Formats: sequence, C-alpha cells, structure tokens
Amino acid sequence: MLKYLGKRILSLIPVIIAISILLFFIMKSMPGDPVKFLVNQSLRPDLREAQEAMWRAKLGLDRSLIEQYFMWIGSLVKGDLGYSTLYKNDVIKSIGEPLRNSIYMNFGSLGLSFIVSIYVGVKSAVKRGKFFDSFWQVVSIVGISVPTFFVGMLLIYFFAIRLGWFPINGMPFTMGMTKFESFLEWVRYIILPAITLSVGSLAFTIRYVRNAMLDVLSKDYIRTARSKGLSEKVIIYSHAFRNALIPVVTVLASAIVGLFGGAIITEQVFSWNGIGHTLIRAINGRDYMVLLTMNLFYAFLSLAANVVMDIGYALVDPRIRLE
Amino acid sequence: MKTFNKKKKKIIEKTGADLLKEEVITSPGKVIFLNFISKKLVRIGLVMFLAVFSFVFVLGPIINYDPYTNEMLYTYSRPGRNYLKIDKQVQGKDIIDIQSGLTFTVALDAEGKLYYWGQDEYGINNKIKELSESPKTFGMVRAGNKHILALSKNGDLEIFGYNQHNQAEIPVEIRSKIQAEGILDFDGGADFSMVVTKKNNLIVWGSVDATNIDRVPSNFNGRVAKAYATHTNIIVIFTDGTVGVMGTRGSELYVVPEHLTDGSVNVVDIVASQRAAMALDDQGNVYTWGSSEYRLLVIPEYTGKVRSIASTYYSFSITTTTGEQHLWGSNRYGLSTQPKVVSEDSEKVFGNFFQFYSISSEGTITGWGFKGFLLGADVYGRDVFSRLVSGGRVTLTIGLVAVLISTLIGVIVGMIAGFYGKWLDNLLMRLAEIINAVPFMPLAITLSSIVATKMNDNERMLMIMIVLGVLGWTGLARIVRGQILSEREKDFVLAAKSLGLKESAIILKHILPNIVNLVIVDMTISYAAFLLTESGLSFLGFGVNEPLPSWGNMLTAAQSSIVIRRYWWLWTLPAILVTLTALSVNLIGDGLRDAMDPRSNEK
Repeated sequence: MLKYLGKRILSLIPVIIAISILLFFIMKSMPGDPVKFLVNQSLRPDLREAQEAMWRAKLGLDRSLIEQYFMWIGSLVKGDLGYSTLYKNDVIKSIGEPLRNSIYMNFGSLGLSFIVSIYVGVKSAVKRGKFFDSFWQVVSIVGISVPTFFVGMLLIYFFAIRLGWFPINGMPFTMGMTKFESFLEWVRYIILPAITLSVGSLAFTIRYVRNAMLDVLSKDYIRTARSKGLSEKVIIYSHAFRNALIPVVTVLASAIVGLFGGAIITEQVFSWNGIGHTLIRAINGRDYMVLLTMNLFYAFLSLAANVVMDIGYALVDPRIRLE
Repeated sequence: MKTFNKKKKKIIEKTGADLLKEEVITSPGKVIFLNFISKKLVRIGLVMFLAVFSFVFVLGPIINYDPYTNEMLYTYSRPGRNYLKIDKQVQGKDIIDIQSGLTFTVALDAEGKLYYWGQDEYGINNKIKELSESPKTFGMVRAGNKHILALSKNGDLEIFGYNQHNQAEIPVEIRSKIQAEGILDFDGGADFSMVVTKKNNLIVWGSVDATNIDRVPSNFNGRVAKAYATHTNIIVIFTDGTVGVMGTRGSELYVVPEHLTDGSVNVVDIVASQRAAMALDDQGNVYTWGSSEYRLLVIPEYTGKVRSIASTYYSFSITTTTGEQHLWGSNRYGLSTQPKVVSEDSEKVFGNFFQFYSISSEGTITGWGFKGFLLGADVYGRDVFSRLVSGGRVTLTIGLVAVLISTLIGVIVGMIAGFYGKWLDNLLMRLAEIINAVPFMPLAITLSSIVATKMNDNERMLMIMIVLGVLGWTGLARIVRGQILSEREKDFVLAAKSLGLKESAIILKHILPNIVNLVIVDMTISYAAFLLTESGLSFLGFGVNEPLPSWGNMLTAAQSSIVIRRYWWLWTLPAILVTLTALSVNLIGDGLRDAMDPRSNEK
C-alpha cells in the first residue's frame, strides 16, 4: 500500500511542474501592468517612472520571463508566495482570511450534502422504483440543471428578504461576542451560502450513493444475510451501508474540489469574502501573484483529492494495487 | 368488468397475431428510439427543449432585437402591455382633457370627474378611485412622468403618485405662497412639479438638484402666463404672448425663433418632444424649434388654420380648422401612424410622452403609441422580453459551438491515445490530467479575462466558445480512450484484422460506431453543463459583454439585493429559462443514456 501511495505521489511531480509552468505563462500573458496599481498615476512623469522602475526591480519584473519563473519557484519552495500588488501585502497574509472564510463555507456545505445525500441515497436505493426514489431522481436532475446563482437568489428572496430569517449577504461581525454567540452568528450567515453551494453537488452525490448502494444490495452476502433472517434494518445499515460508504467517501473527497471551484459564483451572490471573491478582485486588479497562488491552490487541492480518491479505490479494490 | 374483457380481447388478438407472424427483427437504432421516446420524462424534456428552441430561434428573427435600443425613461418598468388599455367608462363621456405619464393616462370629463388607466403604480389608481367617490370635482389635470396634479373646482391642488423627490408634496413655504397668490396654471415634469400663480410667478419644486430647474430667472417674475414642462426644461408663455425657456443649460430648446420673442406673434399654446418644441399662435400658425432629429422641425403642408397641437416624445401632431390632421416625426411604437378609425373621425388629439389619444365627434377615445413592456424593462429601460429572446440565441449558440469543439478534441485525443498508446498516450493523458487538475471555473475566468480584453463582441463570443471547448474535452477523451482499449481487444476486431483490413478501416468501420453512442450522450450532458457555465461566466462579468445580452449577463444586475427584492422580472425570467433549457437537455441526455444502455434500466 505504501509503495502504491509513493508511486502515485511521485507521478504527480511532473504534473505539478507542468501546471506551474502553464499557469505562470498564462498569467504573464495577461494584458495590463500591475505596477500601475502600485504607483500614484497622478505623479510627475519622471518621478512616476522612477517609482515604477523601483517596483519593477523589487518585484523582479525587469528580468526575463524564464528568470522570473525560476525566481517564483525558488521562493515558492521556501514558502514565500510573493507580494500582492493589490492588497499591498505578502500574498500569504492577503489570502489568509478569505481562505479561512471559504473553508468554513465549504465545510458547512460539505457536511450538509454528506448528511442529506447519504440519507436520501440509501433510502432511494432501498425503495427503488417507489415514489420516494422517483421523486428524488427528479429533484436531483433539477438540481443539476439549476444555475448556482439562481438557487442563491431564490434563497435570498424567500429566506432573507421575505421571511427575514437570515441576513441577505455579507460577513458576520463578531467583535465583542462570546465564542458561542459568534459561532451562532457564523452559522446564521453561512447557512444560505452553504445550502446554495451544496445543491449542485447534492444532485451528483445522491445519485452516486444510490447506485453504490444498489450495487451492494445485489451482492451475495446481502442475500446470505437475508437468508439468515436478519432484520431489514440490520442488513441495510450494518451490512450494506458500510460497504457502500467507502466509494461514497472517496467521491466526497473529489466533491471538495468541485465545491471550491463552484464557490466563486456563490461567494459573489452572497458577497462572501472568500477565495473566489479574492480571485475576481485579483483578476480585475491584475494581481499576478495572488492569481497564481489561487490557481495553484486549486490545482493542488484537486490533485490531492485525486490521490485521496485513488487511495480510496485501492482500499476498496485490491486489484488496483497489483497493476 | 367491461374493461377487463376488452383487455383480454386485445391480448388474444395480439398473441394470435404474434403466433402467426414471423418474429420481426427491429434494428438497434429503432429499439433505441422506441426505448427513448417511451419515457415520460424524456417526452417532457423534448417538449421543453422545443419550446425554448422556438422561443429563441423562431421569435428571434421576428423581433430582430438591436441591443442598442432603449428607452431610458422606463428604468425598471414593470411587466405589462396595458398602457393604452383605455378605461371603458371613459368612452362616450364628454372628455375635455387627456394627460399621460410614462405608464399611465388620466382623463378629465366636463363634469370634473377623473378617469385613470394604464399601469397601476405608485398608488395613483387607488387615489383616483378615492377621489371619484368623494364629492370633489376637478377643473384641470396635468401629468408628470410618474405623478398627477389635479386642480379641484374650489381651488385645491391635489398631487399624488411617485414622491421620491417630494414632487407630490408641496413644500410649506411654497404652499403659503400659492395660497396667497392663487393658481393660474400648473404642470408636472420629470420628477418635478410647477405652478404658475395668478400673480404670474412660476414656482418649481421636486427633483431639482441635478438640473437646477427650480432657479427661475429673475426676469420671469410677474410675467409668466403659462408653463409647459419638457423633460429637461420649462418653456413658458409670457403675458405678452412671447416665449421663454429655462432649465438645463445648453439645450437646443434655447434657440427660440426670433418672432416668438420679439412680440410680433401672440403664442397661445406650446408642446414639446424630447428635444424640439412647437408653438401655436392666435392666428393659427405653428412654429417649431430645437433639435432637428426625426425631421421634427419640418412642418407638413396643411390647409386652413391650425386649431390644436399635440406632441409625444418623438413626434408632433396638428389639427386644422378644415379637419385635417397631420402626424410627423419618428415612427417608433407607431407614433406617427394614425389608426384608421382616427383618420376617419377625430375631433382633437392629445399627446404626452409615448402615447397619442384622439377623441371622435361621438366621444370615443382611441389611443396609439407605446403599449408597455411585456416582461418589464431593466435599469437602462431595455425591453426584457426582446433581450431574453436575443440573449437565448447567444447562450444556446455559445454552448453548442463549445460542445462541438470539446467533442471534436475529446474524440480525436481519445482515439489517438487509445490506438497509438505508448508515449503519445502517456503524454495526452498527462495533459488531460493537468487540465482536469485546475478547477474549471477559476481557470475559465482567468483565461477569458486574458484573451478577451481588446475584442469586439463576436470575437469575444468566439473566444468564450474556444475557452469552454478547450477546457472541457478531458472527460470525453478518457471515455473514448477507455472504450477503444476495451473494444480493440474484442473478437470482431481480431476477425477484421485477420481478414487483412487496414488499421484505418478497422477504426472507422468497426470501432467508431461502437463509441458513437457514448459520444452522443456525453455531448448532450456537456451541452447542459456548458449552458450553465456560460451563464455563470457571464453572470460574473467574464462572459458575453453588455450591451449584447446573454441569459447570464442579464442576471449580473441581480448581484444587488435591491434588484432581487424589487424587480423580480429581471432575475427570475432569465434564470428560469437557463434552468428549463439545461433541465430539458439533461432529461434528453439521461433518456438517451438509458435507451442506449439497456443494462442501466435495471438500476
């Protein structure tokens, strides 16, 4: 198993290098000059040019692209993500808070879709062909087809504007609150975006859980369990569900990546100060270093999820390890 | 019991026929089709898709929407085409005046009763009902763009309607002045109101900060007899019959013809379009001035003398003593096309903003001009309905082309990887893995912001299609590669090889047909996904650019909660259309997959 894991991780190295090169040159081909955002443009021309040249030298923008790439990689390895021209701060400090906010929202959403999809998926499989099953089949296909922003807007309209249960958008302000109060405040703010974010992924995971469960239910050991006269509850929750859970967990690992990618729209709808929001600000402000870091973060996340998924499969299916 | 017998009979008939007939072999294509069409959800999906498709591609060419047309005054107008729906009670009454606001019309009869029709906004309708039940009678009525001013016969000025700028509320100091001097004339303009007192002073209040329209020049004091509000200016007739202009500086309306100011003619009435004005003197002559757009300044030839004049935002009308009637100017909304009934019998024409009304000798009122927006208007006063139709064309086309690009790349890469294997397979699959590793949305946003900065609308649309296509092929390439790897090991390929067929013939004739099913299913599912992605991109502002509409960028406005709260037609309609389209395509795709893979029916 360790050997398989090692091999899998080693095979990622060329991919990571290729991604970093690809991303670096994509970013560098962006039009617009980031230095323009750093220097007061109303300065006298000669002063302005001097300042711009100073910043260029400081950020290494005056060197050749290849040099710049190696400089970037070098500092990346040392843990230095570069300087954000937009936030006028180190990238790592600028994206810390948005990253935390995004993680909160994504975990809220993940927890929600985990619970709902397992409950609905298992029940649909057990009640295959019945009303419950077909109802959720339709719900999940609608869920795939609804744009995220529409779900968000509908939730805002009904639950924030009409009923007033939740805030319309924005971030919680928890200054001076006790731990418990601020937790409740976060929950109040996070519920609508988390539901919005989970609708799309729920539709996939429900189907996945249902099919995994159906596969397991047709296995011989379930028949054996039935023939032993075990109660249906024990069969489903103790025998079948445990076996169906492993592929489900692996698919949820990959759902994390999808969530982070899809969170951009949700964050925009709810004015949530997360990494998606930061990404859009960085694009509009031509902030290369933040952009690079964000895209690299997404790529790492997705590769990591792929590895987790592969390990999951390897755990389930020993044949994979032998290949 | 009866039905049971029937059923039994049918079964007997059927089995009898089957026994006699040879077994009919249905082709696989037919089986798939029958399987496909037999599902209820698939049929719903097909009907939905056809509905959306015809909405977009049949209505589109009929409407032929120009993204640059708008009616700025109708910002956030509510859905409805009832602006010209004349109150039936009015017909046949002795109507002495008809005044229109943007979305409504108010009429006054000789008995002093008010009538109202059009959009029921700002509580005007309720107020009118309330007034008609009260014993109050009115002698004069005027409409601003969103409010109404009415003077009762005992001298009270009632103002009601939109009051954002306090135009429907007389300020205390003005109220006392009006009470002291009495009311001679009044009018409503674009969010402002004005009164001419019996001492010939002009007083203006309401939305005045931006235009300074309340600064009445000192040489107007004690001279104003009548005032007419245009959108940006006020044109007045002085007590000596000459004309003066005030309000927004630099307006073409300031260039008044000389004989209107030197006292040689005595002006009795004034009307104005958006940027031009027309005056009528006591001899029955008309004079025009202002902007020459729509050839408004060219007065048509007429016989006799002009009896009355009227105007809308884009056109003028005159009625002569010989009964002739002339309309000229822009024919937007059919404003310059007289309805047939009107050309046969018309006593007087009233016009305001975007509507003309004509009263026949029997008192029948006919209206023509702008009826309203079927599905409302957006922040720039653009018709949401036309934008939905035209935006659908953009969204559906981008999705389709993107899917064609991604399918082409996916099939080719998958086939090359599957057949040639070795290092090429490795390289291509690594490439797919790399593209797959970076989540779609962030990369698509980044790419579209890079490639599409200095492009025109068409190039930008093409770039979005390519970005979507280039990022979206990896899944299909993997499927195709996997399928080829498994197909090529099958016996029929071995047989073909042993018969000495060329490699290319084997690929095209024997293996390709086996992956076509997969490709078609993948195409439908990706089409739905691309529709959603395009709307997401445009929603974020990285897709199709304004003013060209797409369903996604129509929703950009809904990033503000005020729009979500107040203007439902701006966000629900495009979002519902995207959802319906994606849903129908997904239903069709699901149905296709089930129909082509009989095993999936077991699940």
